[in-house]
Amino acid sequence: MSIEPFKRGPIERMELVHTAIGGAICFGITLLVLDIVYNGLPYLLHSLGMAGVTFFMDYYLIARALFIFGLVYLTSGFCGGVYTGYNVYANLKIILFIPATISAVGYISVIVLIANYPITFEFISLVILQFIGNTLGSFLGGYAINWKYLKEEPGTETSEKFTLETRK
Amino acid sequence: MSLRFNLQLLRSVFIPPIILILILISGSLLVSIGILYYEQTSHIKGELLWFENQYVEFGFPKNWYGTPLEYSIPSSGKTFSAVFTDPEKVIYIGLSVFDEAATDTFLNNSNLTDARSVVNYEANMTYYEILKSSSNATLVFLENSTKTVSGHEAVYSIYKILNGYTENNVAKNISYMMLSYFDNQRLVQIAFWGSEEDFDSTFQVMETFITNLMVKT
Repeated sequence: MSIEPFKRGPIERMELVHTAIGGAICFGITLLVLDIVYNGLPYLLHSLGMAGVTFFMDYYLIARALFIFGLVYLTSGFCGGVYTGYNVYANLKIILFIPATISAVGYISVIVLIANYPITFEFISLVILQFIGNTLGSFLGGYAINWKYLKEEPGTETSEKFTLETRK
Repeated sequence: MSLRFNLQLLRSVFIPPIILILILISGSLLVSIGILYYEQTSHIKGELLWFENQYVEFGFPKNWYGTPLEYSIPSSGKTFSAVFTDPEKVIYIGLSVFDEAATDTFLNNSNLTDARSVVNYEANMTYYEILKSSSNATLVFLENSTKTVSGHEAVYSIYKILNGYTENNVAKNISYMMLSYFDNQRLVQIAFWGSEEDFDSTFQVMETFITNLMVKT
């Protein structure tokens, strides 16, 4: 029996491990790059001669959230998605949510449990933004790595990557 | 051969999900910078960014970082504060505007009566705070005078705290200018402080800030 790309099928233990590694990649890149981008944006604005706009907090916070969404959340989600999409064959439409979920849950854990940051409306909206960015990135990464298989005509023999023999 | 390889490589790179993620990333970065650029162009007047809210109106250097703070305690009134710093120097400008209730609370709690006593109180409080980290710090008053700000007579003091902090194991002095006045029973405080060298070289910025300050009634 064969499993077509992104179609449902049995999930093996190693696939779950790879999905978890994809989540860890997503979370790790988020943590690593977030701090750099968070602190680097004021320097960038200063080099553009626009440091004063940090005073207009309402717009600055929106712009910073968008900047982090693009540069951190989408990128980290994409990396996690590429890894997961490369190593996992079946159920990718569902499984690609998992790296984003692991990343978001990991981030909440770090901020709330380790940093003791209070749960505010701003924090919740940032976590939602992170989840959306990671999910979008993860799906685009998963689809990008499997694009050549997805383009194959239905009915033709599926590529070796997606052909899993069921273990009896 | 090489051309075919490059085309194949290009074809494998420019696939819809990668194009989409690049569009999303660059789009969000462009929108983000666009918002900030719009914000800058809508507030800029010459070399200053202009800020205005219900309490106050002023201009500050366009390439200084700034943080506004607005806090309200039901029994103690409202206070609007702002701090600015030049990222290339050790220099800060602070502004606080109290409403009538906050002014009364502040004066009563600190047993103060007029603008001169407020300036002296702030100078001493700053000195005691610095003493906690630099035990051999010394407060030296250099100038006590008055100045007209927004049509009001403001009281100010310029003073130094010798050995205020250490940088690379070298004791450094901190220069301060503390200015205070009342505008319709509302206390306005302006502080200007930083390293000795930067204080002198940036004093003109402080003068411009004071000249442009307008407290709303």
